[in-house]
Amino acid sequence: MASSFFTEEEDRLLTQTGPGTTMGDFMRRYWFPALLSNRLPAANSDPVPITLLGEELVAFRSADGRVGLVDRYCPHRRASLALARTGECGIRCIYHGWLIDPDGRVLETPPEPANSRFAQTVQHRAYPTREAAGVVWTYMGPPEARPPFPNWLATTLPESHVLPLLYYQPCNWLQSFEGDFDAGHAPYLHWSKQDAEFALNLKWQDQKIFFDPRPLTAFAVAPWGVQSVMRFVLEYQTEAVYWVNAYVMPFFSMLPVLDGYLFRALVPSNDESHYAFTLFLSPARPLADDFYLTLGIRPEDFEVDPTTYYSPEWTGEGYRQDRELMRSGESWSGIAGGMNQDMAVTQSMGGVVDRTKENLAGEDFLVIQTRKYYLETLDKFRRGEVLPGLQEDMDHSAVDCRSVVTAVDTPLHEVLRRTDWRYRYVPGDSDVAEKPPATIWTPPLGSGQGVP
Amino acid sequence: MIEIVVDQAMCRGHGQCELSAPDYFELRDDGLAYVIMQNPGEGDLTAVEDAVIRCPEEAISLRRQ
Repeated sequence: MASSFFTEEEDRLLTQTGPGTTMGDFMRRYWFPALLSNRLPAANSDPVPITLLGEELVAFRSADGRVGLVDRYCPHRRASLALARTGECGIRCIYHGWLIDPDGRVLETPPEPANSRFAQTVQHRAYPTREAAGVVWTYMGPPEARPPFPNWLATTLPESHVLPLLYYQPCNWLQSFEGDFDAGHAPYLHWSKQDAEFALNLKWQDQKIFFDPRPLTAFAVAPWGVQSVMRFVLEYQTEAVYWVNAYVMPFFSMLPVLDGYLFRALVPSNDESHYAFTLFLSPARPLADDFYLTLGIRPEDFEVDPTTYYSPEWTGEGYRQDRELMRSGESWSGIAGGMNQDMAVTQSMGGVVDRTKENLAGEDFLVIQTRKYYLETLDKFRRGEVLPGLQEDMDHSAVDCRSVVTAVDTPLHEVLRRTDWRYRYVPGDSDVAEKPPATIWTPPLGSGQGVP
Repeated sequence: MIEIVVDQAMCRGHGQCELSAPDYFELRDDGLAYVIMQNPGEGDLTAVEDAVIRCPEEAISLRRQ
């Protein structure tokens, strides 16, 4: 018997994001990342074909430095502008030489007579763009409803404090997003013997997320979306680490990392794929080499093909999995790298997971509440109400996201309420713990494996 | 007065209610949740409401008598 939640109709409502869909129209009301600036380093850079929210577009950089994001097909005879010439104040179609600027104005129609005013009657679909910290953002909604450009930390920090990454995932955006508010998978999916042994000697609190098999969670609605609190604690300890995470509409998440944040935007390309913009933000200091070391991650975990944005671990059909590592107890999933582990499981669900076949359990509390929140928010959208995060006084820089270390029996809603509680990570917090634990939890491994 | 109602036809034995409010819910050997005390005291309402919201099957409701 599958879960009583989430009918087929609700599943469609949550997952379909193309033109004319409710969720798609809702998402278009917000500014969101479109591509990384490094795809268009100069005015004569190759145009970049890209599909966002089911719409086929092309991005280019004009000679004045602006990024244009326009309908991929020339307004003349619909030849693809992915083949177009660049290096001018617009993009020039190779079919008949029509020149289109970043605002969608047709500047030249060479085959037409000199006295023709026809070009002035043509408006090519074009979306406004803004660049910030290595990311090109866009707004694809009705011009009259365009909100101010958001003052996220991600859009206001200097580039030296931001590491922008991009992954393309051939699956629906929502199953990836739900991974960000799934509290209980880390001790299984992300477990490795090396990390367990590392954590045995670690004072840094955040490592607890990988070794608490049943974290407690709480959920709250915020003016801009939802918040979750996740409590992680090791069995023998009297203090726990609490993550206060933010999920801002329509598809942004912020998780605390060290003394900064992991900021994500899961932008649908079409119903069976999305772009995962993943930004590490370091407000206090420029990102440096110790960043990877302290997090216990490897730079190669972030490698992607520079044009397709697939991880090199993606084989075309799945992620590389080493079952010898599983059998030996070295890795529970057999997949290398935390990001790859997350992407492997969400993509393995298929292009669009069939939620009517799920059997949701207690651990899925945050997933259930967030889906309900989306359905309620889409109702508000249909009624024309002010949308979360689009209020006039919305301050994206003040979105509450932090980790807290305090007594293990602290009520989760108290942690949420006390916005002054914040764990101050200090570089060097990864030093040896004063009292290393004798044992550490391991997921079921079978006989003769695991950390002794 | 508030009354706790468990729809056992929807119950699938997750046990979240017992975790949230052990004075009011009990998961028995038949795999179903049972109400131990039907009317929560005012001080226990938060815990009972937590049990309601955490049930993955929405099998628990509160009724005003």
